[in-house]
Amino acid sequence: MSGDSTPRTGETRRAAAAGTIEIPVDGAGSMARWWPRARFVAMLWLMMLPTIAGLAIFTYFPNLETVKYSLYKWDGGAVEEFRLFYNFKQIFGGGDPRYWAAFSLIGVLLAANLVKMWPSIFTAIVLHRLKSERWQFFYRVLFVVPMVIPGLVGLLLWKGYYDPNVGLFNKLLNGIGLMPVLNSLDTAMPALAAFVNGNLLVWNSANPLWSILLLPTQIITPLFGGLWGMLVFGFVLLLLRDGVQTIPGRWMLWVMVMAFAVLTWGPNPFENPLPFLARGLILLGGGALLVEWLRKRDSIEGKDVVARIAAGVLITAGLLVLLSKIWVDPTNAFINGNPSWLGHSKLVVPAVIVWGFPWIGTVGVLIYLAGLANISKEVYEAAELDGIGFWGKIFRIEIPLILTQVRINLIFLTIGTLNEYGFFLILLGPDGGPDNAGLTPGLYMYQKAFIQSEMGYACALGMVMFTLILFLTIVYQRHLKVDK
Amino acid sequence: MAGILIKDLQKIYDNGYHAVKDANLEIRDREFMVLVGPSGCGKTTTLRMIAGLEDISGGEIRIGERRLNEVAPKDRDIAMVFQSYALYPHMSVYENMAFALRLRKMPKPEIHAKVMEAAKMLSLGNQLEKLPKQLSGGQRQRVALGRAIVRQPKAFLFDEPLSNLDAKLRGEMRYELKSLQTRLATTAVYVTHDQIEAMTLGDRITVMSVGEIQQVAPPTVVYEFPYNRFVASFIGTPPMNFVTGKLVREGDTWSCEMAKGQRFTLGMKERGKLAENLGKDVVLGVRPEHLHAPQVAPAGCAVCPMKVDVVEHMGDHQYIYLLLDGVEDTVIMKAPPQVKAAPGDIMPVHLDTAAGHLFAGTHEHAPNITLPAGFPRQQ
Amino acid sequence: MTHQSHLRFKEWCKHALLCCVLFFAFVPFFLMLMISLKTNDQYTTNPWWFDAPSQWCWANWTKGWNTVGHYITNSIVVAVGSVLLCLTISIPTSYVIARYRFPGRELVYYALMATMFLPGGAAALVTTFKLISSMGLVNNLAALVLLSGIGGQVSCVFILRQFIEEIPKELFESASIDGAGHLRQMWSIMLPLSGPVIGTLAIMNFLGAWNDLIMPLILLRDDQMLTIPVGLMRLDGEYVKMWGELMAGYSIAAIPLVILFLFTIRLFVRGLTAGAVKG
Ligand SMILES: Nc1ncnc2c1ncn2[C@@H]1O[C@H](COP(=O)(O)OP(=O)(O)OP(=O)(O)O)[C@@H](O)[C@H]1O
Ligand SMILES: [Mg+2]
Repeated sequence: MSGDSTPRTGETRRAAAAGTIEIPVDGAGSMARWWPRARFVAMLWLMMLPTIAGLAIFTYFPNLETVKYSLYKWDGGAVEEFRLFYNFKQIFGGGDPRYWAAFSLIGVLLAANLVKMWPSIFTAIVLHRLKSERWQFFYRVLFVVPMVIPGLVGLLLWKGYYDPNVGLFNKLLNGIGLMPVLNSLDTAMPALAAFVNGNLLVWNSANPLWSILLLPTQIITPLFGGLWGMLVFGFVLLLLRDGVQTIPGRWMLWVMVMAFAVLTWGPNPFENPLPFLARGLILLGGGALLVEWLRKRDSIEGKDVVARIAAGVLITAGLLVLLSKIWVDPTNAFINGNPSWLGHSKLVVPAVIVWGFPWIGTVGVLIYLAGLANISKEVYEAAELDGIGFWGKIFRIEIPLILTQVRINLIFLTIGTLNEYGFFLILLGPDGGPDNAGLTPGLYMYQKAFIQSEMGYACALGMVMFTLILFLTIVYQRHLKVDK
Repeated sequence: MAGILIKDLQKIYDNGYHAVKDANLEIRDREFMVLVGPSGCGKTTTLRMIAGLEDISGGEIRIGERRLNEVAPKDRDIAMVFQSYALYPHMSVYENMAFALRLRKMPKPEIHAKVMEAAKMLSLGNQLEKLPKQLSGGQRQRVALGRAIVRQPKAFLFDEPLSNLDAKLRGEMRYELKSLQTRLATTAVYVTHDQIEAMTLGDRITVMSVGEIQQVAPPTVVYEFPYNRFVASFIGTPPMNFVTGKLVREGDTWSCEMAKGQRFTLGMKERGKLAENLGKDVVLGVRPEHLHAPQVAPAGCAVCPMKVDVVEHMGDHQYIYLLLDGVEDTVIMKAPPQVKAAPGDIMPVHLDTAAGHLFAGTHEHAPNITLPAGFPRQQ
Repeated sequence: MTHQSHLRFKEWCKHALLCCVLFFAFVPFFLMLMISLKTNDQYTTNPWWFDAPSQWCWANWTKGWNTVGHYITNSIVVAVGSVLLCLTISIPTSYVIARYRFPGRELVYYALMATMFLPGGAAALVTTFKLISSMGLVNNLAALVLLSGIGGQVSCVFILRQFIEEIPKELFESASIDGAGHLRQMWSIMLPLSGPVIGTLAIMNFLGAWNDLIMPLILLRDDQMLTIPVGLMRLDGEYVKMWGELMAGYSIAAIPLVILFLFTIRLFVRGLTAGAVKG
């Protein structure tokens, strides 16, 4: 393509109009060859210059600087002292248990978010199935309207709902009689946990292999902590359904994901690596074999066994993680009927999870709707003639066809959850609330940087996070192209 | 107005594909030149290089005396009609036609006059306020033409402008294009793979194959004197019949001997190059109208019995598909309606080899060795 | 049940479900308005419904306006500035990337896309702050405009590029033969054809800048300079018990978006559902 860079003067135009002959630009010399093209490309780059400059200065430069400062002791001001890998030794050498503990919170949140994704999808499907176009448009408009409330106001409103005495949440719970139920569960659930715990202890002491895998003194917490690994497992299963076709490719994926899972599994994997390694290997080997076997069956029987198992694993693991985080010990918060949801270390996480009920992101609904709109009427009609039912339509037509949107959403969900801190900062303050119950890795980073002025250390934490996200991104990249 | 000169033109795409090889072509002033060839032969690529939409990898293009290689498309003073018409969907018919003139800062009244004139010429007078999507296929086509006409460019470029229309409309538009061209008398390059368009519209036609120009000549010359086997097979419907054999000579009689021993005596006048190919593989090409049933055959034909396979009646003539022992493809004969033939009949077919061609070698681009001496590839 | 009435019943079920969902979406809205008209006493005695109109406490709204008013101006400056910046830089870039193949194209595109996966977490905040302060832009709204405009261009380019690539390239080529330069092609071909998408992107970017909290929190110092989210957060800290005033402030903060949406909602909804925002 030739450019528009050639000057177009009045003379040439008039000359052309008058039909006069112009002096030919002679010389097929190499200069004449590449010069117009070079000028043309330069023009294109010039048009992108603002973007490039902005990106370089305001995005890449700060991010690259964190790499530099991760090797420094830096307070954000004058104190700047190079100390090589000291920060990283601190992080990985057991000097920072709170950071690694923060990752198990991420596990819980991720599980919760995976569940919270579905109401939007179902709403979109219901909306899509409305027969009347006018009603559809009407609802779509209504779905956008709540966006006028500034995001922060929504947040502060919910914070108000959770107020122990005047908050609407407690009033609601008391009003519909759920509070006494919660109170009785508060004794029942810990009893159940203790029962399971006791039985496991007995079995555990009789089984030497078990003691390698789990720390013998506390069983139920690490077990449930391990569900994070299960979550990852389910996730990978889901991803593997269609994607990497070669066996070595899948195994590489496994190694990466499992390394990640093991890393974020429990407290600090680097203090006592053996059980973590053992668990990791079991997950890696067993899981991968299982998947290979399932895939074979899948391709033979043409069923979505893998997907179903993945969904099952995800749901169970999610539920178990949620439960385990709350009710190993009695909270004693419900007796007076005014639990302080954001002020009790055991209630912070449930409060965060219930947050935003019924979890319908209106923009999310519209995006799914966009995917659904691509399904042609003929597909539905054909399916109806084939005798498809209500659920069949959902699981065999609609969800498979919006899978792209769902997957993209999953990526951003994961990365978003890993990075999350703004929400917790506003809600719980830089400490993450009582007992740091709501301390995410991101918030911890924020705390280190802005409260404790250990900016160099915060940069090092940022680098760790970056590596994790890089891994995840690579994994996802193998399954869907960013620009598709 | 000006002619277009293409010299040693090369196009190598980024992926390394050599789409146009050493093309040399002179399009004369006010000439209607048709580029024709099978799909993928590089017609569009050549046209887009003339328009400046594609970089030139080598060689040069001149319009009049002006070298175009480094000139931006907008400064080439060329108008192009795309296969998909490329009408601006958000502009009315009027605005579509006026767009280029506005960009040239032409005064409003002048623009109006030109658009109206073009609209009248194309009978679009009532459609000026409509958007492209409210028009029929033929009307869109005319708007695209109008958009090119109003600019009064040095040359028109057409890229298969009729291929989106149905057969009937295509016929009408072909006629309109032809009459328009005579009226406007502007140089035009017209790309098509439809040889009827090529034969009817072109002052001269250029036959291309795999990026190379095979022959340039007026339609009748291309038809009667195909430069090589490719041209011979590409131009003409139904296509020329080809039989492969060995060139043999008995005294003064040259003939083509086939694998199964049949012999066709060759009646061609041009014998200059025959001697070089004596004993070698050659291909004899005879057009369907030069195959005759015994009743209506002129004198001096080679005779060979063939079996009738299928008969297609076309009204004023009929096509008889014949099977010849040792030849894979059916041989087609164009016969007058009174010839009676039924499938299964054995018919002594008369081949008017004097009107046929002989190609040296069996490959696709084998040269025609029965052309008059010094016959130019481009004329 | 006949087939007809069965179908109608199914439609009703769908409506019921959607209304139920909408109910939850609108509860915060409703509560905000309701509580904004109550004193604290009224709120504790009757938290669920409006009092008699005669008892409505409009003083909350006056107070709310006095505290929130200038935050709104600041937010509008930031959001509008960010939208303008974002569009002016992302439109040419998407045009270039979508239309041409040239050396370095992939590099620029992937450099843009990669920022979506950078852990834009707190660590980069520190260095960003350092950068902004070295430019002398701390406590200056321009810094926010720059950051959110440049951050917002990523998704703009991503979506616009896809959209432009779907415009038949003959249109651009035809225009360039007709004599249109790059600017003209963008203005006369690309903008009219991608209008709804650009509108939707503009609104998305506006909302992003409008709701951004962390950056203003770090970069702004004076109360005079605060944007709505930071301002409200400070209010929340100060007026722990004055629910009515707080809610009035929140409601007032929502007004600019109400106005924006009044004019653009059709476009926005169309754009979103037309798949303008696929990712
Ligand atoms: N941008 C490109 N990159 C690489 N190869 C290309 C490109 N455009 C075209 N080609 C190849 O160049 C050859 C010639 O293409 P061209 O479009 O000129 O064919 P054509 O003669 O117009 O065919 P048709 O009659 O089908 O339109 C084709 O083989 C095509 O695959
Ligand atoms: Mg073509």
